[in-house]
Amino acid sequence: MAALAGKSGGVLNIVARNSLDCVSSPQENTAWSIVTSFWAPKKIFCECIYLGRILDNDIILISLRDFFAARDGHAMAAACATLTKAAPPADGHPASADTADELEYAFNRLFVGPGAVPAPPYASVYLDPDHGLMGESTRIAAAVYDALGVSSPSNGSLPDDHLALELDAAVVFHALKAREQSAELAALWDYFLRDHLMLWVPLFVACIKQAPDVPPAISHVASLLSAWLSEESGAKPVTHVPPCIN
Amino acid sequence: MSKITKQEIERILENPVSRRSFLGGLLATGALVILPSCRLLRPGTVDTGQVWEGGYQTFRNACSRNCYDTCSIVSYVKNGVLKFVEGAPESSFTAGGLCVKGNSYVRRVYSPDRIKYPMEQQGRGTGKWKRLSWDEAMDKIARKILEIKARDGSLLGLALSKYSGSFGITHYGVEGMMSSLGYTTRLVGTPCWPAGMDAQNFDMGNMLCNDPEDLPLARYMIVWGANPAWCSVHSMKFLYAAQEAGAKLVVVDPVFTQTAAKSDEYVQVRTGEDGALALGMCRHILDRSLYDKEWVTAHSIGFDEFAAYLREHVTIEWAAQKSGVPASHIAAIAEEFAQARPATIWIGYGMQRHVNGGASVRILDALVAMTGNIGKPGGGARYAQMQTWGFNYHAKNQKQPESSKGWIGASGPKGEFDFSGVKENVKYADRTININKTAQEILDTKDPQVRMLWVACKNILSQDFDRPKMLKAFNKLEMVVVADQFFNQTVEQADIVLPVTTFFEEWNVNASYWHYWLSLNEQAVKPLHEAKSDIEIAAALSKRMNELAPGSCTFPTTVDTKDWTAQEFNKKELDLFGISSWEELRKGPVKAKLTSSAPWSDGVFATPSKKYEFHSDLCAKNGHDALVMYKEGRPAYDKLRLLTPHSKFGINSQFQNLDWMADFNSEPYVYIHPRTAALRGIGHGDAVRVFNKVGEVRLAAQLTADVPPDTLLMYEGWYKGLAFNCQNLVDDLSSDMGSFKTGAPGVAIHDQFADVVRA
Amino acid sequence: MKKQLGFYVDAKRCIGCFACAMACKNQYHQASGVVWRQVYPLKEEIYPHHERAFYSLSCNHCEHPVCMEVCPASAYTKREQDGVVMHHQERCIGCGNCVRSCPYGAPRFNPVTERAEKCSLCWQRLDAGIDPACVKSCPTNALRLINLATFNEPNAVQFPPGYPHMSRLNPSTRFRQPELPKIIKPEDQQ
Repeated sequence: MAALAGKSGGVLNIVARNSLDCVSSPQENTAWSIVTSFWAPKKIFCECIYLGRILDNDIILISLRDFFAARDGHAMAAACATLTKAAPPADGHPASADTADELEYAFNRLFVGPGAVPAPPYASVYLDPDHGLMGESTRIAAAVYDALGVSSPSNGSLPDDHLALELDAAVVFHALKAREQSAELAALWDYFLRDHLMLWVPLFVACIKQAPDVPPAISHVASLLSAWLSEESGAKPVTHVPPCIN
Repeated sequence: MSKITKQEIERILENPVSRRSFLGGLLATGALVILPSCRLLRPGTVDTGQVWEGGYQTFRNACSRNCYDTCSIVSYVKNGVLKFVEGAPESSFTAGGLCVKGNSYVRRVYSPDRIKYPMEQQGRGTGKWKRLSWDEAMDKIARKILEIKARDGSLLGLALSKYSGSFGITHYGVEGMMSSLGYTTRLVGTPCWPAGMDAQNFDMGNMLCNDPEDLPLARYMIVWGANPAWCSVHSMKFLYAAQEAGAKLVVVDPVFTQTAAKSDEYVQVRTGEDGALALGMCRHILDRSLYDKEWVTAHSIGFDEFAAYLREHVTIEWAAQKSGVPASHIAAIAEEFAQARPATIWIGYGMQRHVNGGASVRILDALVAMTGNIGKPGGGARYAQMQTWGFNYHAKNQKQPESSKGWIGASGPKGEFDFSGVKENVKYADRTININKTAQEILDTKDPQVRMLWVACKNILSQDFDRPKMLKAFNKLEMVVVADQFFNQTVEQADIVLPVTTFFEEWNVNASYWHYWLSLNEQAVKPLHEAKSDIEIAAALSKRMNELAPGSCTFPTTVDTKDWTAQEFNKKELDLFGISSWEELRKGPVKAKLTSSAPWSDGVFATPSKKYEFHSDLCAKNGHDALVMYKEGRPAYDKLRLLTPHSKFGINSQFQNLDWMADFNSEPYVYIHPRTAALRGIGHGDAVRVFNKVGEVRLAAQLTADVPPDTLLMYEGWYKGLAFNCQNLVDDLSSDMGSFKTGAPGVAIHDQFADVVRA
Repeated sequence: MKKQLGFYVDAKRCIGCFACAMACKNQYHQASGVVWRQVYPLKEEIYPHHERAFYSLSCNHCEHPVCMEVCPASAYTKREQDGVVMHHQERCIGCGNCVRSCPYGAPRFNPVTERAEKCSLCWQRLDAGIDPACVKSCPTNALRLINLATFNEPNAVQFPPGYPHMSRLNPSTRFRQPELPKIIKPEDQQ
């Protein structure tokens, strides 16, 4: 199955027989509407059911990536809006009272700085004994990207195990897996998922949940991150929240 | 097909060749395909450069802290990541090992706490930060600078507070950046050593010290108001070598320090009465004719006047009464000192942080001089030297834009690293205000007031005096820009913070003010996140300034830290070190080629008279007594004395914030004599409140007879997450000397008083 | 006597600067709170000043290591060639026996890996011909690597005051005691 080329910047990689050159970004449309607009009903019925799950997951995955890669409140709010639409919180709406600014202050306070942050979004902080940056886990993430044939554009300045990069790698994995069945690919993804992401992301989520003054919108993002992991791995969602190590 | 195990995956990932071929044909046509969805990761792999299998790449680095030892470092890097550091084996001073702080550098570079991006606080102290791109940050700063210029007609409303946070020579590019913008306000002077620096300049015409590696030649050493066991650990081996050869080590200090514990004899002196003690010794040496008549006749002026002063105004009973040292003992050490060949005094910076600090250093100099110990290997009045700092200061020497207006009139030295000399016949100059009274100066300065403050290599709100006053002063500032690595107490109150590199992430060069080694600092790893070196920040600012207002900044708009480091070297400096090119330093640190380990060995001084001056007209011209003599200390203004010296776990406000350091030292204490504590019902470990007219500090107490009963002792520093700050108790009263060589007097840090109660 | 490596802790030269302790962290990046080498200030009953004399201690690489004795997973071995007591992470089951049993507190429990760990005497460095990180870093040469088979320091002791006297284990660390200066204080404080 060939893949669609499309606009850069968060465009969903849709598997299709025909090369079509217009694709809308997943943030603007639901997965179903994209599919139904491009496919003849009969042919795609079975595939839609299969693809639907992937596409739904990928919207969430991509929005999660976009959230953690965001540099300003508007990008964060946009990602949150997409996530809320795709997966509304069980207990009603997250505080839409959060302005983009408030979201940005909280995001920086939790994940960026300039102060010490309660939830640094890097694998090595959780997995490596010294809880620092540029540890062994960073190296492993970079090695996985290398195996995938991609690399981080920062070329050494941004640690490779930043969550946004790792989620982007998950997007890559999904696209490749949708394209082809391969024992090597499956094994590599299994490793990245179970021996890397699943080891640190729950700890990261725990740190978010245990931090003070977390806006509901960000709390919801954290829950969706957990849920996505559970869905991917087939593991039950964690009920016991480990204490934050930071 | 059998399942591929985790171990197999890990093995495959280890090897660049195997991992790139692992997914085989899947990637051959797939790489381009995934581009649209994957937004951050790019197809293609990073060139990891030299991949050392089982070996490390090593680099030469130089610790850029304000420290006697200025270690030469070897950095071990793998895959572009700094793995560990060691001391350079080539330096006989560093001798292969770093201190507790140096050994924590890896943690500092890769701390998750490091400031990553330029950020802007929405309201000072609110904790609401937005991320800025470098372009946005430079734009905001440039616009503010231009606004100030338009409003005041000059940039005197822009002030720089900078000191010793990073001593790599290209960091003087921050001063250069200020100059390249126009004439600005500079906080000049130094909290560190200015009183003693002036004193040595009046006495000898320069501040030069023996090579510390010649200490093993000493027969008698007095470490006076210094604590090398904490602040110059690499010097200790030389003190020990002297002791092993039979020399006597005496420590004079109000506190039984770690160095005191390693001495042969500890002499407890009353704080601030070091001058009296030394004068008592001088008097006794004079009476016993144990001074070096030949030397003082041939190489000094004013000795007879000094002798007359001693006979008239000094007795050892008086000295005993003032200093608290028993008279018999003053006599004993005076005789031992005078009869040892050679004898030396290590004059500490703590010793001169008093209202009479400069006067006291002159007396200690006199004691060494009259006994003929100046200019002798193993002897000397050891304080500091800047002889090895003969760089070009190319980064610093930038020109103001043509039409710049500034302060009218001549300008004195802008700190001790300003080698440009006092300028006469200039139309405009920078406006200089006292760095040791930063808070008061910001409050008082007008026409124009200080509107904008740039802080680099300094942590004002952790280290400057009278912290309550400083917070008031900050309210007057329209914009505060701070360049730093960690979210310290100054960044907490900044408007814009800019992330700076550690020295591992830039090129630089360092000398020491104590030993005579020169160390190159190679860039070992890439700057982390978006950190920039101070000169790269200057270049970025210049670019934006010139985009908004062509010609408004002369700083080059692109810099390369390696190139700028190379530009700091000149023939004189290379000759001093016996090398023909700075590149030779890539093989390791190099030591200056000294004709003698002792300065002044030829007996020719740099004073107006070319002799050692017990009587110095220059000193009088600067507002002090021409003759070396006793000066009263500061009267007490509260019940107990307060000392706030340096901790072994940090350099001022650096290092203590790292969690590795917290593993070994987790909280600050105040140390109280058991008798004093008992009178106040304070037990060991109790929470107490230390307070005085400036403010208060709450912390736990530890009881020890190692501090005098009339003294409270706490160590300065910044602990991550703690509000602790001893500057809430320290006022900004000036020391006597300092203006001559540094543009402002020093500060009487150890002439403070306070009381304590259980909290 | 067989080659037995150990540490010589010269408390006379030691200034308690913690360079050794941090050199170990610098080399191995242990988790926060997990310290392989600690610098212990001597109590004032032993050295009559507050935190002015120290024993820098890591693992004593004992002749009869109790850690090895009590380990149910054979995660400890003692090297033939030099007596270094090695802990093997991959065999460790995190039972904590060694942590509880060592009277010197050498094995530490790492709450992240949930295994024990301790000073390895930098055996990889030793095998490459270089000194342990702590020894290399000591600025006063107060911490030295010694071979008990050839060590001959008349003033050295095995069990100084304050150090647990466990002859059966036969620790390989040797000490020199700290000294006191003559102290001159004002008459009212004698």
